[in-house]
Amino acid sequence: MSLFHGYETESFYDEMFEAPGTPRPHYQKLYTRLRDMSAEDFRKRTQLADRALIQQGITFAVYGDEKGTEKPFPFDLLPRIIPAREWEFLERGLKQRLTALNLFLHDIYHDQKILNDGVVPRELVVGAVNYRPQFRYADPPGGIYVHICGSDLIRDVDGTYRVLEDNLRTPSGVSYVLENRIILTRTFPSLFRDLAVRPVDHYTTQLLANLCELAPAGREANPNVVLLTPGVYNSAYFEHSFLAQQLGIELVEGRDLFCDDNIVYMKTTRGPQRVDVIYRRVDDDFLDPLTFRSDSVLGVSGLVNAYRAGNVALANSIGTGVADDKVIYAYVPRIIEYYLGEKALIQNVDTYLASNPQDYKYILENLDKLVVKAANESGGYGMLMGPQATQQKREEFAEQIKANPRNYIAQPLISLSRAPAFVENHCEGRHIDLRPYLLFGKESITLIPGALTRVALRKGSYVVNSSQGGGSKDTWVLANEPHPLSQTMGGMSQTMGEGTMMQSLPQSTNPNPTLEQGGAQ
Amino acid sequence: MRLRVKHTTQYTYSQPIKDAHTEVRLFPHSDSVQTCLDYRLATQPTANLFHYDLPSGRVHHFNIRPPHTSQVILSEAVVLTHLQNPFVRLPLVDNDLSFYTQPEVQQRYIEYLAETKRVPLSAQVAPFAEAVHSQSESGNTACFLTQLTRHLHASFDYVPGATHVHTHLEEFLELRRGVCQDFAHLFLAICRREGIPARYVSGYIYTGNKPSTEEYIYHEEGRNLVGDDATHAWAECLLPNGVWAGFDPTNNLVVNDHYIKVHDGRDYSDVTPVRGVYSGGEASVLDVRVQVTCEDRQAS
Repeated sequence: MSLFHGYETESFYDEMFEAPGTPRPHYQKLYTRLRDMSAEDFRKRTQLADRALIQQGITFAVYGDEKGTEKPFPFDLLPRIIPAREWEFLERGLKQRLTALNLFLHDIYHDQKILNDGVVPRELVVGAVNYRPQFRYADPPGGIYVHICGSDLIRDVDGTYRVLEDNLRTPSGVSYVLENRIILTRTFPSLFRDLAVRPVDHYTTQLLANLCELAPAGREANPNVVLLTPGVYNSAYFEHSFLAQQLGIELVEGRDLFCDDNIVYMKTTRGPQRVDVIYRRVDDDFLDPLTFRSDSVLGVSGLVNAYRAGNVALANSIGTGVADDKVIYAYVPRIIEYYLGEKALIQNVDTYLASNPQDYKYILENLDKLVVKAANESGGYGMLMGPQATQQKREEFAEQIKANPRNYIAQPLISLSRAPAFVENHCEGRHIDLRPYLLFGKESITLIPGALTRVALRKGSYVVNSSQGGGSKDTWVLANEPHPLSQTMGGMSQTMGEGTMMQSLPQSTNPNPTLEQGGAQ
Repeated sequence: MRLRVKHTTQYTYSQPIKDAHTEVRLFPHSDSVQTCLDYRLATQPTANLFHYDLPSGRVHHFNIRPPHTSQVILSEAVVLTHLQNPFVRLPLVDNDLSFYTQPEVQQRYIEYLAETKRVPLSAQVAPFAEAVHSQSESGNTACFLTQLTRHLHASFDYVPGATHVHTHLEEFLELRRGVCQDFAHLFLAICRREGIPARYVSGYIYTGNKPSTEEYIYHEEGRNLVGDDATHAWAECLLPNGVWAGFDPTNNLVVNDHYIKVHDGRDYSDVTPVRGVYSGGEASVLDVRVQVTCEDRQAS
């Protein structure tokens, strides 16, 4: 029985099928390849992939879970494919958005022109939980606030891409993009050749190059770059250690660093070693007890002042969370127009603000139709899925909204697009989203041609967060003919053709020959 | 007036502490009503000093890594103050309170209208504004603010040590006594509820040349000015003519050339004169001495 036997697209936009049995053109090759594969064969490959993931320790932690700190991140073997034309549009739209949001951050931490002109209400910015007035008038190197951006996109029932939220603080998940790709290239090697899938493994090289560029004057020659993690109890600790290893930089905790006379040092067995650039995965609040929360033990005293003085660089910068606030989100199209004089290429999802009296009334009267989100929560916490929630849950949220309207937004429930996922012995449609990663360097913005596709593995669920039963898929961005890689890699000179890409694969971490063999069959 | 401020802050620890990082907001900036002629900052143990500037004032910072049991911060400033007659800046227009109902004004100064942890805009403070409004029907902002200054001065007692830096406004309202910080926070809460942008100011007040800081506070007969045993605090309000004028409810005064402004902010937390963190869980004993002297020839 075919994997896709009885597959229904129902009323949703399906990434793979125009109609049951009719794949979209960019999925044709994958479809042909998989059509005749037995469920048993596919399950074997899935099991091998799962085993490889566990062996590589690709895990995440769920807060509030008593059983154990870490869980493997479920991985669905069927890739999500994005054709070149769609990707080019996303690339333009995402770069536009990030450019504008960065200008917005620079403005609100300097002259606040956009607030004085009344385009964004001042109270929404200065009242935002993640606004950091302590950092006003500081100048990050190159004026860059958001070095690493991972915004979440979805496709609605028409297949239109929309930005669901921006992640401008410490977006996570890129390690899954890199690891998923390693697994899939070993599972379906020939498909990569046939489909001209663009590689993603230059992500770390580009990130490292961008981080090195931030080094203080006089320290450019051989800058010391470190990754600052909150430690093993953080949900993304796996990713921190993975990235530090891939980047070839030290993984440090706050207690490994200290500030002396406005310079940051790392404690080593050979004495203090100056630190020039910190890729920090510690939130603002915990970064420096002198400037922010004085009870924090995760940060480094004096770090913010050293940063302000230009003696060390941080990525991402401080206070970026004000621009990914879910209330400010509603203003992003206006922010883009204000700074760039252009219409937003990628649309937002329609958003109602509880702080706006008209919207407030609408939200409270339509809780059964809306998705309500707390302005400053992430990871699927602090969220109400109105249509699926119990009456009691809706009433609880109504009370919370009434108590603090500023903190809530609501959006219509978008019927997220679906893609086939392997369930037991066949494929079923599951809802997905898309998190691409952008790297903002001094010269240019790089969009990595690939992304984390998160999939809500529970039948009918719209919640894709890993902490709420979500899994991931590899995302294949297809190249136009001929391979245009050298254009997208910024200042990096390496150009990878199909052949070199395939050659590089066996060198990836923890090779598993069983999988490779399976793929060749 | 030419005023000299000597401000000594000493922390003593029962056990050695180390890796101490300190931020200091003690530098009096220069503006249209005061000019800082000279400023010196020193520490014991000695440390290299750094600073950065914000519109609200200059922030110095330094760190001391080796173990130590005491830290002394010596801050000395010479400031020329120009505001002999503060009343010339107060507009005398009837019914100018309508200025504050303009949406542009409310938007622009939202930071000084919003509530903070230390300045809750609770209904408890409403009677003070009502009492003042009932005394005057002119609708003149400056009149309201000066009468509010007088009203708070009359309603609360200044008692050093009655409250501490973490005392909540509600407690002050209950106790009916406190220090300049409490008077200033209450003043801010009342103004903000009225829609008048108001900010917290830290600084110093000159109360006459004294032989030493310990002896003068309670011995003076008649009208005592208080606040120079430590840093002082008052409120600044935006007037309809665009001027930020200072009001000191602790002393029932419109801020004049006896005052030296250091920093302003939304509340005390923004202007904390000395803020620090260190390793070692030992409690500290704090000793603050402030001396403000006048160096004009005619000063007695």
